[in-house]
Amino acid sequence: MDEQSEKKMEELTVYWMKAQPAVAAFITSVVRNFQQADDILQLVAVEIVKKFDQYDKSRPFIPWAIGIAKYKILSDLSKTRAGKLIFDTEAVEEIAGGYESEYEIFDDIRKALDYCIQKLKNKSRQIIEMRYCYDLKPSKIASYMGMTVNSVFVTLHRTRLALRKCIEQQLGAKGELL
Amino acid sequence: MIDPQVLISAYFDRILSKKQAAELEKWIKEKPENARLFARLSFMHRCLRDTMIKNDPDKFSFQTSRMASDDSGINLETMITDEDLKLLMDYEKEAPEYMEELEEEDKISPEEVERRKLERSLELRRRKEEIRKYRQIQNHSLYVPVATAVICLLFIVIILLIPRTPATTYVATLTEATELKWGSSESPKKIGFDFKTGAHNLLQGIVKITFYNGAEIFLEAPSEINIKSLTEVHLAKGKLLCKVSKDAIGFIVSTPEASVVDYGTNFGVEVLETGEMEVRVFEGTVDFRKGPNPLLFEKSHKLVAGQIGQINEKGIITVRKISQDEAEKDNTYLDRIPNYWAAGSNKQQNLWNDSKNWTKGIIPDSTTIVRFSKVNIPSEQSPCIIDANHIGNKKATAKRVNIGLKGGPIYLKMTGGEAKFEELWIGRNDGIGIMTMESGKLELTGGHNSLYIGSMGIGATAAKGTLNMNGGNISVLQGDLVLGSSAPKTPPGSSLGTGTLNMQGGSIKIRGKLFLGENKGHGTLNLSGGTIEAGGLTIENGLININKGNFILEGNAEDLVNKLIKDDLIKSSANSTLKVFYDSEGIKGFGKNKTIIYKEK
Repeated sequence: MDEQSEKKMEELTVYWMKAQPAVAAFITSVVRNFQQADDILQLVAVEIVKKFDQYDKSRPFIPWAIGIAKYKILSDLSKTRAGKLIFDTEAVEEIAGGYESEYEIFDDIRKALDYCIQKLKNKSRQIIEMRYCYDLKPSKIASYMGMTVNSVFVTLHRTRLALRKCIEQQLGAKGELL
Repeated sequence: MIDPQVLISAYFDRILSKKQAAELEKWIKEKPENARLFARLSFMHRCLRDTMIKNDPDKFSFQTSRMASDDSGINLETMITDEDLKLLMDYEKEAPEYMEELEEEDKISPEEVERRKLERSLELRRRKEEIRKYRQIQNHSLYVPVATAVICLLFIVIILLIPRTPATTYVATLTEATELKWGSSESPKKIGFDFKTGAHNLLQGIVKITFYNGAEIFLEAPSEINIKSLTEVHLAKGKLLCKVSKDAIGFIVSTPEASVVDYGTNFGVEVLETGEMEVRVFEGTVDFRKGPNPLLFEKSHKLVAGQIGQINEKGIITVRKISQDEAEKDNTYLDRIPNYWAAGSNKQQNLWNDSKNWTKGIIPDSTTIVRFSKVNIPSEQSPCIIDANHIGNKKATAKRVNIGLKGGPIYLKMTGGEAKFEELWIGRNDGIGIMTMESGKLELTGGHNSLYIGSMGIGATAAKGTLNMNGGNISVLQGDLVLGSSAPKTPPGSSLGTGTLNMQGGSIKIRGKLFLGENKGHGTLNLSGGTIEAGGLTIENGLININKGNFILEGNAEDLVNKLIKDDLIKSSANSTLKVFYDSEGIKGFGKNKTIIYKEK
């Protein structure tokens, strides 16, 4: 590998490491299934490598990467029934717009979330782990915990609200929108 | 409209109805602030996933035993405002409607489910192929610099290195085990311990593994498995039985030659050393797929209950019906897993025929191995009871009963009714067991191993067994009653089994012999009432004390008994004389051709 290529690779890696959480979150927000989102993330990464020469370095990288992810989802995935999306194209465009506006605060949210997760107590932590570590649906969590689907859902929702409030406290004025 | 945040949560959890999805979509499109909030919350959702799987699984509180008792965490009640609670209540009010809609959505035909699975599988293949082709293009194209290809490949490697699932994580629990021996210290040693993903080599015994999603696996040694995830286990060698509930549909058992995808069934899988493999379906349907990868299979066959699918060493698949013999053989498979006593010592009614008192949730039957192995449960104050209600088709039955196996002291009391076991072991393998018989009828139908009291002390603590016979009848229909025994080749330093029979009433009839102190064990018979009758007598290491009651031996055993009395191995209390009488005509009322030993009045 020549010096120029090496530099290019380093540059791309740095960009991607920063952008990957936001791109992964955007894809997940639209397709929902974590496994499917990870598969698409790989395809998007391949696409980004292909198109890196077209990237205008005077503009931020993350919105550009999200744009590629959006195109990949809308052009490829929505054609198959297996990948049928809940939202229409306009809504996906809006969500991508939301990500492009908010990406600057994501790093702070992530750090705050790391702290707030540690403060989760027994039952809410247990259910959050089942939901996120093992990707179990509320119906399966309900059957494992001997709860109703509704009460599992309400616990998940309350835990998310609690985490959101904890993040707000951590971010102070920066997290106003949350 | 429901609070959009509630809808977003329901959307993440994939339980949003069509109507609610339309509401959420409309809200997102309404104004940019809404899309921004959705972006933040969905970013938090994804971060939760990434953070949780990156954490050390040992820190997780998923398993109850590891749950932290920290009270300084987030208090959900105080973190939620009154307004939030009101909105949640609104959602809960609408929940019945949502549930109905969900049920409607769930009413898709099995064919549609299959079609969607196939579509998903083809989609995955297509994507993998796309990546493969892209790599080839990068490698061979004259127009793309080699350096770019290298960048691409390295870049993909970096992406692939980003953890998508935890390296190891807990996914299942050891819920039953018998004669357990693993090849690695990493595997769970005791019931209630959890399994991490990874390889487990079962050298001896049978285990039941219950996955957190409800799937159950019964694994028989020698077997090698690799628990790949919550929903997949790889069987490299050996035999397993899989029971999959509705909640765990889609559970996969992969093997080197084929995979079995479950649609909510009971099935068995066996992999031989030669590479041959077979799957037997006992209930429901499975998809039998050639090739170890369940998504990229060469061929698939749908197998229904009563069918066997096989792959021979040449990779040829055959499907046939299960024969009667094969079906019966597999029906006994589950029975080899013991049913443990599960009741707590504070229970008022520790009845044998109460299914809640057993770990399997079923009352033992004639094929069951029963174990009482906990410390002091059932206790002296609250023993397991077989009472007068255990009669006829409600009689207590079991293949083998172990009272105090590597545990104890364990107490079982028979106050009436009937019991029929093949074998009864009281105090076994360093365990302490005490059985009291007040009334009722106990039959032991096994061969040589019928009734062992205090046997095989193999550790630091001796096995101790006691039978207090105050009334009722015990019949050992074929075998022996052994009081105190140890293994034939007892390792140096091992303790020896000690057995005691305190007989104050009732009768014991042994078709085989009464054996005291087998293989250096020690046995004591204290006869102070009732009648004990045996086909023969051997005292290798032990003592018989006769103060009252009758001890009867088959045939003319006068010489043997007189020698044992002379050797002080059969004794009576001080200042008393033992009488030995051979009754050839049966004038004493115990039948003809008997030797009767009793204390002279």
